[in-house]
Amino acid sequence: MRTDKRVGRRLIAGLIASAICAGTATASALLDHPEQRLREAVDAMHAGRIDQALRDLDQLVHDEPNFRLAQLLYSQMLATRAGAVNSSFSSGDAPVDALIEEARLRLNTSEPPPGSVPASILSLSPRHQHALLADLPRARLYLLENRNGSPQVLADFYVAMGKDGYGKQVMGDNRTPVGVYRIINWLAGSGLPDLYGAGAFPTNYPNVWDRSLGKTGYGIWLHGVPDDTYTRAPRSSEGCVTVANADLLALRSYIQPGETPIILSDGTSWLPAAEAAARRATFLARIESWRAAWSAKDTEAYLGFYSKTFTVDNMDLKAFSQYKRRVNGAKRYIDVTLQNLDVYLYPGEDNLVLAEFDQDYKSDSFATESHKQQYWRLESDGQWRIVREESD
Amino acid sequence: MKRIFRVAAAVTIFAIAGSALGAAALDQAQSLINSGQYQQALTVLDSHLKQVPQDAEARFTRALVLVKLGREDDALKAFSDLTRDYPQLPEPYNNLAVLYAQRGDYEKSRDALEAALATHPSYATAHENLGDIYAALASAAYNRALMLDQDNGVVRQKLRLLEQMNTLPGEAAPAVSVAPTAPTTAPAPTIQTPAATTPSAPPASATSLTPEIAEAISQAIYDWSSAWSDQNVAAYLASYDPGFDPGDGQTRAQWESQRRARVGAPGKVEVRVINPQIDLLSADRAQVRFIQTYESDTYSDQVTKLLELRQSGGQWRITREMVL
Repeated sequence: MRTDKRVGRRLIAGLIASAICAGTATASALLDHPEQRLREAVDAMHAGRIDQALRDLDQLVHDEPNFRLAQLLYSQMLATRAGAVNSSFSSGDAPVDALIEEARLRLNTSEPPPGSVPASILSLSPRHQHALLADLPRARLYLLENRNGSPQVLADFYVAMGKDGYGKQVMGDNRTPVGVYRIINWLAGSGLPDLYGAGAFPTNYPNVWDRSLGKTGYGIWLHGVPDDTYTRAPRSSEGCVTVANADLLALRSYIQPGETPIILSDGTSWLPAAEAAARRATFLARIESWRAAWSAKDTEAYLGFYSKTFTVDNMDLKAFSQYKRRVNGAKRYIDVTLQNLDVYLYPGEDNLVLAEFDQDYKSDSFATESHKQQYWRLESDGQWRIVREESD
Repeated sequence: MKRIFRVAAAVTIFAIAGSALGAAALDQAQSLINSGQYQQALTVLDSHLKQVPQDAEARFTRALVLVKLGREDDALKAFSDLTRDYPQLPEPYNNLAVLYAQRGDYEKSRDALEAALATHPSYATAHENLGDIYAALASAAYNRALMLDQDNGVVRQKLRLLEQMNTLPGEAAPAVSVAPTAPTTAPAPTIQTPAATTPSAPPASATSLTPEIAEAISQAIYDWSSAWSDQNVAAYLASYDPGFDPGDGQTRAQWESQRRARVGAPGKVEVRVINPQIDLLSADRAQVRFIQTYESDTYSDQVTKLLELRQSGGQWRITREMVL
């Protein structure tokens, strides 16, 4: 245990050192953000401007007394200033370790390269002005703005997740789900217990894909934090994602309950805009081919877009094929148009794509509008095929 | 209050009013202070200040008397006014800082000390106090970081600071603060007034730390740490004086039951006392400061600890225990 203490202290020093490399590269959209101020203080400290660092931290903990990580760093700097070689920093303690981990996550964060877009969003329809993307292992939540289908980072925030990390499977596993969800509601903090802080954005976990995999649990929200803390430890919830109250309120004006997507990812990679555009074009072409084959009443070509593992409404591919041949064969014409197409590279899965759109189906005998979620998988022959479809 | 009195000596030199009348009033006040008649001292000073309102030394002494009388708010205002009227004097800032620290307002305390150092960068007392304030601020920030019971921390720090006021080595400290700012002024008055400003001498000179006393105190500390390491709860608790103040608003019984649980519970405990330094405060009171290492099967830490002990019947027992 004694060594733990030393390790703990070395860790703080080490991660502060590593923050130097990343620190200045990060430019939050919110300039006076407490995290940005923390970074500046750490930068000042490392540049040897100790008095400046102390003043910065002093002001920061004055403004945000519940920013516990700032208090810890402040405390350490003051202890050093007081000449306490053996400061009574205890050690190996879970709360201290959690703060050290928070420091690592906050200070090591690096802004995505300029102009890059998250690989997980292939295309975003104009219906969504904004989207949220959480990189759970890095404890970051990105607010994205839709610029002609290409999501650009507007701001990013520290977020905390489930006690046991991410990859929720069953109710009570204290994990945060990985997947593509939607914010379905806004609940003001005034009507909620203190735990939720400024308020909560419930999500639609479990979604179609989760249910098809038998995942359970409910009540996965993006919410604020209690009064007595600025943010929560990196792994602290029962599966919800938590964010500073001020950040939650800042996000509020960008979120449209019932619409705004929130992607909870197990790690986000960023692509140069040109590469992302090429991927988008390829995939949109594939979906267009599926639509065109259907509209052309080319049933065999249409069925060729479906995987052998495809299931829908208790039908396997064989039953579905028979049904489609019968229905399509009876029509004189079919006209399918797609609108509001969102395409995501599904997080936590290998080569799975979710395409979501509003479908307008017209034929000589029937017409319907629906919202469809279609899951495509890259198969061993190099073709993307539909493995699951659901409409609401 | 040794340090405060030391400071008074320093101001004496600055504020030479050259008034024999003032010197007489101050002498009188000082001997009243020395005999513990603070109210009377205040009366003498008040009446003197009616005639010579700007006598900085009298004002300073008056502020100290207010501290003695427990009139903290008035003392704070008095020192604060002195810093306003005599911004070049570091001592009022220093004492203002001490009063703020006693209230747990470490930020204001720090600001006052930094103001003292701005005019007198080598002012050792302020440096020393500032170190304590940084430590107190560090501790308070640490408690806030871990959401520990903040009140306890504050109270402990407060006590600690008072303690520090009392436990300064009793060397001829005025020189430290006087040297940079007090050129050779008229030597005669300095002989007059400092005589009045050596009340710190009696307690310090009353006793000296003989090898026998040092041995007895060391033995008490050794017995205490051994009992703890042996998890001999009865012997451990017997190391504490009946008048021991657990602090944190705990009663002796609450404290004992908590200690019984904590001392007795771990599978093994090893407590070591490293580099103990003994300060004898009086014939029967002492402070021991040391590095304490604690190791159990579940936890270990290392802290700087201050124990205050009282001697009765030849046995030294702990009256106060603080982590610095």
